[in-house]
Amino acid sequence: MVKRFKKSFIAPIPITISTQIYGLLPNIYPHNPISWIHFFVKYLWIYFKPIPQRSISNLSVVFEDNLFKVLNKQHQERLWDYGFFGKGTLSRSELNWYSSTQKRLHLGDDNFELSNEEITKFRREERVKFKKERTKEQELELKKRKNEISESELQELDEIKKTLIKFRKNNKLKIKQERQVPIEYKDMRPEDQEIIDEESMTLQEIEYLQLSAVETFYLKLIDVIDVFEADQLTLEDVFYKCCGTKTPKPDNQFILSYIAYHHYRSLGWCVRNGIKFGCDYILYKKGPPFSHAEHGILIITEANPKSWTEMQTVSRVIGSVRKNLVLNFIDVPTPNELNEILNDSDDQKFFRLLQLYKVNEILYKRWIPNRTRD
Amino acid sequence: MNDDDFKLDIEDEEVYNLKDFEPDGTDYQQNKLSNSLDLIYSLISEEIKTHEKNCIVGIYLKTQETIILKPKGNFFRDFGYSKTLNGNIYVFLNKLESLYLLQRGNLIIYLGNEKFNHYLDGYINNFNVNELYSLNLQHFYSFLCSSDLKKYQVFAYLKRLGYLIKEYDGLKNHPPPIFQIGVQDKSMYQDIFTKGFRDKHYFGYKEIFERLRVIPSAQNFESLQKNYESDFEIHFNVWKPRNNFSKKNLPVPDFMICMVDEFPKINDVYSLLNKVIKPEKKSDTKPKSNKVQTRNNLKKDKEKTERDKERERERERDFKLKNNGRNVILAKVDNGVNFISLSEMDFESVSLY
Repeated sequence: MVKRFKKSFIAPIPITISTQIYGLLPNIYPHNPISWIHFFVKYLWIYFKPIPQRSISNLSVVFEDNLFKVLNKQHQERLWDYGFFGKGTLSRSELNWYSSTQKRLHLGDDNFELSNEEITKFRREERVKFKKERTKEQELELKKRKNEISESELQELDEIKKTLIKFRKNNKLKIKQERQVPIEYKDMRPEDQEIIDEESMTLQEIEYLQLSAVETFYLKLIDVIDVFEADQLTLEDVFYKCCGTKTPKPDNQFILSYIAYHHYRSLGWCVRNGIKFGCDYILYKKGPPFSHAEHGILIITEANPKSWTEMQTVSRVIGSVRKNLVLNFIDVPTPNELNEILNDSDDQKFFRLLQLYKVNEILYKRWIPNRTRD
Repeated sequence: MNDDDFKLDIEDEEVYNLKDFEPDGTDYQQNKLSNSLDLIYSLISEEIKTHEKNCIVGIYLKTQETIILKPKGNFFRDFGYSKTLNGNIYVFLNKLESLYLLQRGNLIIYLGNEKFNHYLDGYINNFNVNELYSLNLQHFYSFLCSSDLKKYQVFAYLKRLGYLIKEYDGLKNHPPPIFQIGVQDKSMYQDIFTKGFRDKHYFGYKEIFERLRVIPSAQNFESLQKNYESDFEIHFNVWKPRNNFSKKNLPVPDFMICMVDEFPKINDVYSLLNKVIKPEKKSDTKPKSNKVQTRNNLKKDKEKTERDKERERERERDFKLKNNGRNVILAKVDNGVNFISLSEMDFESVSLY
């Protein structure tokens, strides 16, 4: 039996705040003057300490092949732990290709932490086993009904029924890990050989963290990353790179996506891509490891209205995974209003750009009159 | 028919799935299937009869309404409206209500003529209904135009489920709620991009997020400030089945239904929401359990940790997020009837930090 190591929640964005380093401010009890003094002493003490975020240098992101890549291991970890930004290019979401490959080829120590992918794989295998047993049971039941069943088969049926009950009751995860002999270099698959050094038997890291356009612009906006192409890119450069054009229209796909993204991020939600569920974003309260996402966000604009078929399709998928479907109707400014702001030269223009748009949120749900009668 | 015939053939308490009826080639299954099929056919082929006592007589007038001379039965709790003509109280039904009762076999409809109008106006004292031409179901259906037919499908479906329905008649007696503008001034955080978040000590993520909150978003009830032009209209007010229902003093409807063809744009949604009456708040707090306060129980309550309280707060917040706005239901007729509920939401009012 393997216990899964559960991470604790650190922070919603990659900014280290003072209370993280110097401890929380004490509570104030209005009737207790000592608590007031305690509070102010602590407050002043922190006030004269250095600001923690100042000593943290910006994380570096490389713009290459039209992708935003994070190659530094520590930077990757910080982006993941502080707000769950980005996606491992060879993993489902968190970067774990390296450790799972090591485990598959038995290179390092057998570590006992299971990746999400492995758990899903295991669950699916269990499910297949269960279904196999169930079809066997159904076949025997049929025989019984036709009166063609023999004594031994009757006994088998009883046993299968017992195991099926066991399967249904058991929802704990039990994975046995077998310690195996390391695989010899010559027995490895050719694609594995390519990324393993024969002498030291070490695995080469080929996975990196990829940031989406909206994530990159958000992180650049709050000034926690530096983006490099040949030189360092400014916020404006990043904006036009993300838009894909030097003359974006008001209903530019990137700008609209970013409006919704920034809106929910600024309310403290962990926003991740919703392509898995056919919508634009999914919202987590803290992050993927802690709970299921609660809302699915679908962006709709005047220029791009949805049909009933599309709506019902998305709603069915989102409904089946117990999330709410929230429609984001985004009000768009006129091209003149947008260009006026983009022509400004100061750094605050993106702030004014965000203010030109407006988000209207509508919850879309199937109504089943049968169920709401009382 | 014997009473036994109506009982379904349930031998064991197993729950069946659709797939359980996949043909398995046994006579046992065949017999079971054909038995239940026969039962259904015999039920359908039964002639629908209504007792003379329960039968209502109505006369269809030129005004496209049906006048009921002697209303009786439970249907008139929500059906029609009453009007006094020459000292007699009559109930008038609209086309949908008439058709529903006609189809159920509770109503006989005659086509009104001049003589009957004279009777209503009080020129003639006696009138025999049998002189009039009686309308059959087919004939009455022909009075409906195609949009009426769709409305009838929705109306009849909800009616059969037991809901109480009236046609929407504006915001009578229920003035729209007044919208108060919340604090939306976001210009004070203009310095955000020049300094980043290295400018000062932050004692919580709340401060940071408040500075980032710059995109305007619609608040609940905000749309009331504006008039939206839209072709979308609300068609029905719907109430859950209830005992204390009175036509004269209509309660706030539980659901308001709009018949749609196209998927609405945001203007249409807001225009519809502006026509909606918001039901009173449901009490979402559970009744307190009358647990005896023993020392043990008190201890347990104390052990109810911060985490439990936090969870409760979270649940409350989620409920608020989904239920604080107005709500409208769209009905789309497309072979069957599909219902979609649209409610306004305001994530900003229940932020996480």
